[in-house]
This record gives sequence, structure tokens and C-alpha cells, in this order.
Amino acid sequence: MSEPTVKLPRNAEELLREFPTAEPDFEAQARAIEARLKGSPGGVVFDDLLRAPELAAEPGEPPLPSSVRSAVPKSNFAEMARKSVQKKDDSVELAKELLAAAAQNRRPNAEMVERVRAAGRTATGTPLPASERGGEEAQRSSGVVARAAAAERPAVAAAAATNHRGTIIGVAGGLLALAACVALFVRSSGEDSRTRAALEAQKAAEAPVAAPAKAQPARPTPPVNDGVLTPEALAAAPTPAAAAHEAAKSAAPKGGAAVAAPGALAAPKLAPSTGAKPETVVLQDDPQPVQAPPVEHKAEPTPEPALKPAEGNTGSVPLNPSAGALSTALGSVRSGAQACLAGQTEPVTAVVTFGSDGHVLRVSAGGPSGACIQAALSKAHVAPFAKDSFSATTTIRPP
Amino acid sequence: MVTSARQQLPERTDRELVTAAREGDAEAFGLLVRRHQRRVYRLAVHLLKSAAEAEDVTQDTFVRAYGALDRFDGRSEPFTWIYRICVNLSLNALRSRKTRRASSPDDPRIEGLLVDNRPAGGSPARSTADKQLGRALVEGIDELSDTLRTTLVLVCIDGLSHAEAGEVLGCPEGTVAWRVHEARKKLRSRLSERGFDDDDLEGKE
Repeated sequence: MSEPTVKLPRNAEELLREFPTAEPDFEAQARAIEARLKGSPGGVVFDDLLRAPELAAEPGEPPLPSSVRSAVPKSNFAEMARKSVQKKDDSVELAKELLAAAAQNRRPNAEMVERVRAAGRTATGTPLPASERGGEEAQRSSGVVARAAAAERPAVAAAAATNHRGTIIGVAGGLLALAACVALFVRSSGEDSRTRAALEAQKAAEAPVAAPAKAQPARPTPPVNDGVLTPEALAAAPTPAAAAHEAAKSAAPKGGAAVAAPGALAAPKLAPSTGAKPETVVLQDDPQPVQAPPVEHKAEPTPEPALKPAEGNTGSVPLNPSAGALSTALGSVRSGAQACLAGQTEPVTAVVTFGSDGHVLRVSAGGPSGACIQAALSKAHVAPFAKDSFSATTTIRPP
Repeated sequence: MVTSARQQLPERTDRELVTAAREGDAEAFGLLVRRHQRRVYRLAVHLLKSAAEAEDVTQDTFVRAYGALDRFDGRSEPFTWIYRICVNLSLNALRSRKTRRASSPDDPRIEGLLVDNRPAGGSPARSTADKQLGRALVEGIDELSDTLRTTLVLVCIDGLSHAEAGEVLGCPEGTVAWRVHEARKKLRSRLSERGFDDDDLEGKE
């Protein structure tokens, strides 16, 4: 446009202005048009005929001029700002959920049970659910981030959340996961002291004890008897190899009272989990010697009456719902949730918590459509599982 | 009937005719047809390169416009609104063709060149040169993309202002100006290839 107008040869300009075109009889054509209008006035007129023609932009065609551009985006900046804040809110919300889940699942008894079951599952070679094999894999296959795994391994969960939500969310999640780790460390320290006190008391009461743990051979089978959790399992489950060894070492100099039962060394087969200390593990509520029959220990006054057999032994009730089951369950109600976002452009992240009976305990979803999404997702259902609850994060995108 | 309408409404504007037609005055719409059908036809001819198709599109344009009179919001001139319908119908017809039709002797523009009786300076050679120039021009126009050709026809052949063409095409005046510039540049290049140089104000063979 800054270039001067391209001039054509003069005759060409004249031709363009008055291009000689063979013309029909316009009066006859006008009558024909009037006749058509009398016969069927107007006919169907589609909107696309009244819209601007769809002409492709030419290569190099300039963008909209500033006068047009300036008319558009003032509200867009506000919209961008709102979206940015919304994203931050989402990440904070996600991280809060993660922290809450972590804190919830780190209560001593729950943690103990969880580790025992994990030990049983690992010892029998039961493959981990997809959601625990890797957050990325589960996310790719189902779009669901396993929240239970996040509770057990905050760093892994934070990584999954990072992949899912993007860099910003990942940073926020990582920071909060770190905070969760610190909180857990503080908590577990308190537990350690309580556990040590209990062990000391136990050692004082019962001098005769089992042999040091490291003298015992590893047993390939889990310390579970007929689907009943045994003290051996309790002793072994949460104990990684080094931790068990350390526990044995720490117990030995004090009179030989050992924490680990013969089955305790099955635990080293566990994948190293979370840096939990061996002292948090065991028997602090169990006054019985470790050699006592397992059945007797079942009735011990542990505040975990709802203990269920480990997954690997029963084969019927899984520890957690599988990623596929979650995907199916959430997929069955996803369309209803998507309908809540009709007319919106931003996806909404929802956290669905299932109870052990497979029904939804609660749904957390933000935004103006949160209530609608909660109602829709609360209809999801998975098969019963062993854990008390299981949370999954899913993203609902507008239809 | 039509004659009486023309006698009664010679000075009525397009908007007044549209208003009357909306109220059921068929004669007013007939007058609107007669006022713009030639330009609509020429526009269709340059887009479609076919007399028969251009006549069909011209008729269809006014029939559709009549059917959509209630949807004319008055923000633009009636003729730009009618032009838009014509362009859309022409583009639809073009896109429904399997292959783009090349210019042929029954192209009304070529036919118009052949029967052009405008004074050519009295020289038969000049007349012949003008016809050759016209043919090269037609070929150059037809080689343009739909976007450039439509814009060029509206502005350079039909005489619409950039603003009016922008209303028809739904784009800013600056875009229209750029497209006209590009189209003329390509046309000049085409004419130059055919021996009609830029500075040859008289044209040459």
C-alpha cells in the first residue's frame, strides 16, 4: 500500500473500466426474475450467502490494520489475565488436594496398612496397577492421574501432575510436594519417637527375642496367612532392605530384641518407597512377641480394624482401582460433565474420590460449572477396592 | 406495471426501494433489479467466464436477495449487500466445478471484444492491437486467484470504492487496496510477457 499504484498500459486501463462484454437482454431477464418471485418468492436463502465471501488470504497479504486490531483485543488482555489466574488457581487447588491426600494417607495406621499391603503385593509378584507403574503411562492411556500413588509418593505424583498440567503447575506441585515431604518428615519423626518408646518398653518386657534380622534368609512368600495380616507382614511390609537392616542393627545391641520376624526380609523385595523409616513400621501397638501365631495377632488392638487382605493373596479385591477401570468409570460420565461446560472454552480439572465400595465419595471441581460437574461425576462407579479411598484427577474439556 | 413503477419511483434511493419491497411492493424490487442487474451480471461474468452461468447467477442473486430482504440490516448499501450475494453464488458455482474453466471463444468477454465497436483511433491495426490486449487482459484476470480476481473486478472493472468493496468482501479497505495492488502487479507482469510494456501507453502488438 505504500507502493505507488501499479499502472497498466493506458488501453488496458480503459478496457478494465469499460470492459466490452456481450450482454443478454436485461429487460427479459428482469421479467424472468419477477416471474420467479411471483411463483416462489425468494425461496430458501442460506445465511452463508449473506456472509462475507470465504476468500483465502493471499500469500503476503498484510494482517489487519492497526485500526482494526485496536478494536479487538482490549477485552482479550483481560481474558488472558483471567485465564492465567484461573490456571494458577487450578494448580494451587491441585497441589492442595495433593497435600491433603498425602497428609490424610500418612496417618500412622493407614500408612502402616498401606505399606503392609504393598509388601504383600510386591512379594507375590503382583504387578502394580498402571497408575502406579508410572504417572505418565497412566495419564497417556486414560487421562487419569492416580491420586493414591500421589499420596504414597508425592514426588512421583508431582511429576505426573507436572506432565499433566504443564510447567507452571508442575513447579507449584513440586513445591507443595516438597512441603508435604517436610511435613511428613516432621510427623514421622514424632512417630519414630513413639515407636522407639514402644519398642523399648516391649524389649524391657520381653527379653527373649528373635534372631537378628540379617541372619534370616529371605522368604519368597509374603507373611500373610489365609488372607489375614500377620505380624510378620506388619513388620516386613514397609521396610525397605536398608531400613530393615538398619532396624535389625539398631535392635541387636540392645539385648537382641528384634523387630523383624523371619519374614521380614521379604520386604527388601519392595521397590524402595518413600524414605519411610523402619521404626514407623511396626508392632508398636502389638505387645505379642513376633514369634506368636499370626492369628493371635489379628486380634491385637491396633486401631486399624478395617484391615483387608493384601491384593496379592486374595486375587479378588484390588488394592486400588486400575487405571482402565478409572478411565471407564470417568469416561461413562464424562459427556455429562462436558455438557456442563457448554459455551465455555476453558477445561476444568476435577478430583474424584472413590470410596472402597467403588462409589464416589466426593468430587472437587472449581469454576462456575463446578456444581454441575460434581453432580455429573458423582455418578461414576468403579469396582470395590481395598484402600479406604482413591482419588483421581480428570480434566473435563468443553464439548 | 413495471413501467408505472419506474415512472413513479425514478428518484427513489435503493434503501427506499428495499423498504417498499419489504412492505410487499414488488414493483419497487423490480426497479431495484433493473438498476443493478447489469453490474451484477458483469461481476458474475468475470468470475464465472460463462454467459449462461452468469445469467443464472444474476437471476438467482435477485431472487435470493428478495427472499432475504427481512435480513437486510441496513448497515450497508443495498447494492453492496446484493453484490455480496452475487459473489457468494459465483464462488459456490466455481467451487462446484471440477476443473476451472479456461477462457473460450464463447466467453462473453471475448465475444464483447470481438464485437467492440468503440472508436480505436481509426486504425484497423490499432483495433486489432486492442483486441489482442483485451484477450491478454482476460487471460491475465483469469489467472488471478479467486481472491484477487474478485477484488479486482469489484474495484477496477465495476468501479466500487475500496470501502464499498471492503463491505462486499468483509475485509478492511487496506486489504482491498493491497489486493488490487497485487492484482495489478500480476496483470502488468502478464501483459509485459505478452509484449504490452508498462510504458507503452499506446499498447502494441
